[in-house]
Amino acid sequence: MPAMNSGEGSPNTLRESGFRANLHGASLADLVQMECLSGHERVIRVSSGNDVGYLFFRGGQIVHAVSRRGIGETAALEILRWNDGTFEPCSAGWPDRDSISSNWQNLLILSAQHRDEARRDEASGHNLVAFPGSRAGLPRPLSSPPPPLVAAPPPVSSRSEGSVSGEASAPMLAQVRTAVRIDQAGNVVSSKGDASELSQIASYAARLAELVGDGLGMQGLVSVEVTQHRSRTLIYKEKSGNTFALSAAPDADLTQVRERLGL
Amino acid sequence: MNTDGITRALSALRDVAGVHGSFVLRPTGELIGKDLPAVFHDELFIEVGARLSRFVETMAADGDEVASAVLRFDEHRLYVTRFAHGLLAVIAANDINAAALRMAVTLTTRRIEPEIVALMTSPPPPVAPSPSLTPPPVSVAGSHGAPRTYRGRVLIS
Repeated sequence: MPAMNSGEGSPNTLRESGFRANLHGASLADLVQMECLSGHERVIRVSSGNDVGYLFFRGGQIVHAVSRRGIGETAALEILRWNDGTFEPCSAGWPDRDSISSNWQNLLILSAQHRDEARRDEASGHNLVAFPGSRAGLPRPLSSPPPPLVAAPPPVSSRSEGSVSGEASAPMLAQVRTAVRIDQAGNVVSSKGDASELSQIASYAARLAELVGDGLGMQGLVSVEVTQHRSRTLIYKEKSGNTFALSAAPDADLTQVRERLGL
Repeated sequence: MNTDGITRALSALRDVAGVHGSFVLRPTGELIGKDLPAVFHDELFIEVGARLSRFVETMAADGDEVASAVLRFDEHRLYVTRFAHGLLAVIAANDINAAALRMAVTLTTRRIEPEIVALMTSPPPPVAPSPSLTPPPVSVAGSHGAPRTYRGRVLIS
């Protein structure tokens, strides 16, 4: 739980009057809510362990956030996942443009959902395989939270992935029996379930698909999707050269996966 | 049945906007018929067919037979449908109407399947005797030891 200082001595608040508080046991969500309801324009420095982030409040909203891993909603959601630390005003410089358009209620709900999913995934071991990121290697979108399962790619060129919100990824994963990421040398980078057979099948099938494409003048294999009687298999070539493959139930709805991958 | 009939059936797939062409393979990868621009010559399919067949075989390695597959490339897609006696592959643009294509593929498969069965079970065409095996014609005139004849009658010299 964060401790709170009202930051009387900070440059942002030097001219403000009011009480100075040192609050123990409050949740970050409570403090954000209080700050938004106050409607003040100020920057709050949030620290938790070695992590530091900044939340920018104006007009009763969080309009900008910065953390070591990103800016905007990505950073806000990362910060809002922290369980304990300090929460104090500071004099960080304001950006030229706001980076967050969601309202604070939505951010708090999203962060709570992400935290629940992360906890559930940790419990079930589902966090072993992250879905592929951008083929274009661009930064994650603003709506993307940091946990591996919800690492959302950016929007969207003809060959880059679409975006899946964190709350959508959980049912998507529930339908996946096995998943594996294989590097170019055929080594398993990460896996979910017993993916030894899937890794071999995916590696060879992807290579054959590339060769078939070459023969027919079709360059740049993006993905292979196979419908079988007892399963569905999706193989995806990442920009990095890694191959990501998953096997799901035959009636699995892979629409979200496809959308996420831009297929 | 002949491969012209299969080609005609395949050409119906082009009614779906975005279809560039299609071809049919035996399960083992040999080309049965195609409806593709001339640049896709038959020899091309010796390797392509074998690899596509191996691809389907690979995906079924765990005993789960393949029903269909979509290979997505930068600008094209290859739709592969497996039926009892072969594989139907359709080369299409990325923005194709997949639902329309699925329907067209279903109809086309239904149409070509019996023809492929007929093709596979029909007896081989009669083999014309090789010229080298044909006995040389008997020369009427001057054959050594044979009577000379004219219109079936033996000529007496």
